[in-house]
Amino acid sequence: MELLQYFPDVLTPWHLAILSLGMIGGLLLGATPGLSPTLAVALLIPFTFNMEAAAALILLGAVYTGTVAGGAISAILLGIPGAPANIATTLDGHALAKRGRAAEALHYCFLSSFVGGLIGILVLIFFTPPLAEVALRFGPSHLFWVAILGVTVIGSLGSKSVVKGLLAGAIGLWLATIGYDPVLGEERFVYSDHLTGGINIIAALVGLFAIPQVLGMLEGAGSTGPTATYQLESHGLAASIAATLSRWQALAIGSVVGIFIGLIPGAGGQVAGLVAYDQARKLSPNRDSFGKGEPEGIIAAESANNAMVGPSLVPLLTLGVPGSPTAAVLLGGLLIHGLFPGPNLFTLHAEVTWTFIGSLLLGQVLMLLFGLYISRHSRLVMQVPAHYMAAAVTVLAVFGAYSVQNSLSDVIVMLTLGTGMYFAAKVGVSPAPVVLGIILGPIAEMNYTQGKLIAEVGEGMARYFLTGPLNITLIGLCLASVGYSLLAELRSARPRRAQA
Amino acid sequence: MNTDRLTGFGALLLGIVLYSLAGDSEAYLFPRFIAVAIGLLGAVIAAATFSRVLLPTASTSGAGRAWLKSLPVLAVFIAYRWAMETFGFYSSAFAAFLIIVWLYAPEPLSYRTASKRIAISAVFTVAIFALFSLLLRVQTPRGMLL
Repeated sequence: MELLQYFPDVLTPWHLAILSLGMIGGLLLGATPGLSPTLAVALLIPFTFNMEAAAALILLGAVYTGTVAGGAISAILLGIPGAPANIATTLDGHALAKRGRAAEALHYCFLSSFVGGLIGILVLIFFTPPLAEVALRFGPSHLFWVAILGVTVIGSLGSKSVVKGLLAGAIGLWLATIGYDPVLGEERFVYSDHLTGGINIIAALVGLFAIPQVLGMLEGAGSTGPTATYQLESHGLAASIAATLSRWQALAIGSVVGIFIGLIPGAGGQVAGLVAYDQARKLSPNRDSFGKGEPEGIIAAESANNAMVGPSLVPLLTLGVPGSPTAAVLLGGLLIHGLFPGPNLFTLHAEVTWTFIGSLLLGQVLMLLFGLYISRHSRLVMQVPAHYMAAAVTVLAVFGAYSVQNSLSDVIVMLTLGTGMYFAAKVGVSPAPVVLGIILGPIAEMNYTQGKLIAEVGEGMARYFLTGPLNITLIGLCLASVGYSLLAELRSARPRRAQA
Repeated sequence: MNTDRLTGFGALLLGIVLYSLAGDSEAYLFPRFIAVAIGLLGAVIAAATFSRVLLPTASTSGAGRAWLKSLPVLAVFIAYRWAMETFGFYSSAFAAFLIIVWLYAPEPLSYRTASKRIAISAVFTVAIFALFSLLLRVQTPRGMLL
């Protein structure tokens, strides 16, 4: 097998050093609010100009894997997802950390990231040709339904009720429409120059999560004593491994969802964690403890967003179609080194390609080792006094929002959305549905419009959007998701009605 | 007034305003649909506060006026954005960090605590300068200072 033939190339001291540095750097960059995997990989591309192709791809792949996993560190310790892919991790990870179990939450995170990531890379190694054909079958109608499936998840994401969650999601969908219409190019809701470019997703993510955290920390600062923010409990690694493996359903759900979503070009890894989280919650006997620090929530979300990494490279390497925004930046890295995606990549450049894939496999092991090492020191972050933490998060949030497009307008949007979210949280609204709305809005709108144009010259709207095995499967999943959410809401309303 | 009722009527009003702002251009088809959804969900929330069935009632007490404590930092946010453009990212980051720490530190002000706060702010600023400008070479807002 070709992977085994070229795997020794990964183990050369230079490649191992690059891989380790990339992984450590990725974990740390990922933990910085606002520095998304896409931005981190893009920032590193200029550093790879003078490297040989294999070393360059090893570095970029390691940073990609590291930042996806590292985004969970700030999600768990600070309640601020490092990237959109880690939104779902925040819901239970930070809740567990606030109960003094940050190290345990990080153990679950890195162990499940390792399992999910490993499965994803194995899928990339063994099933690339057939999966590339599956990825090609996804057209606008299917992507529209994938976005709608994401929308159905909105109601159950952290808000105190499904209706409030849906309202927050709808506001997120509206925020996504600000700026230019993607098809007609007409300006919409642009009442300030700062909104001309629309709402940037990373600026929104940072603002909606970081600013309410800052304001919340400062609400309690100054009156509650000088130092530790949370009481801390120690937790053995062996116990965490046993606990993670015992929650195999969450691992399986996360891995399968991650592989499926990763394969779909354009769906983005951010959706994978959220859909997996929602499905794990619905199928779990502990569903009522989700959002309050349930380990299954962390395991499902993290296994999904890491399982997505390998499959997102399938359409990239075989067809030149990136499965995620980060994969799109990686495509730039490939092209810079004269590697053109397609079947020839695995024949003409087999040495580079298989060395790269081998490094992703080894990278999962390094990610686990470095991640667990970082977990041991998580108490340092949790013991930083609230006023220092708030000051640091403010500066990093401003930098994160600015650095995406080098725009001060993004800083204004970030601060405005964050302040608004702080007050919205007072009436029981969670930021996660708003961000999901902002992410899914453009995907749903763009694919609906494209699908409509295709349908109008062909088989008609109903036939195009509602028939075919993939459409029907996705519609079925959407209906099941909505039906379950309504059932759960009515079930929980029954005791309230009896009380009233 | 019940906060849920306020939220519900607020959302209903927002939906109506957004729908009327959207006009009838084809580019606003999707936003119009969303505006209707916002209005309907707002109506459901408002209606539920009368029946107390669909929603858990949000607490109207508890947090109270704790948000008033966040007003100074909101002023810092506004000043920070202006200072970044005028003085540059790192000098304004140092100032913002120091002011937030100063405003919210529980310890009484003394020569020792003041020195500690200034030193930590300086170390933090140097650390982000090393990471962003020297290592990653990321562009940051420039002004009169660094």
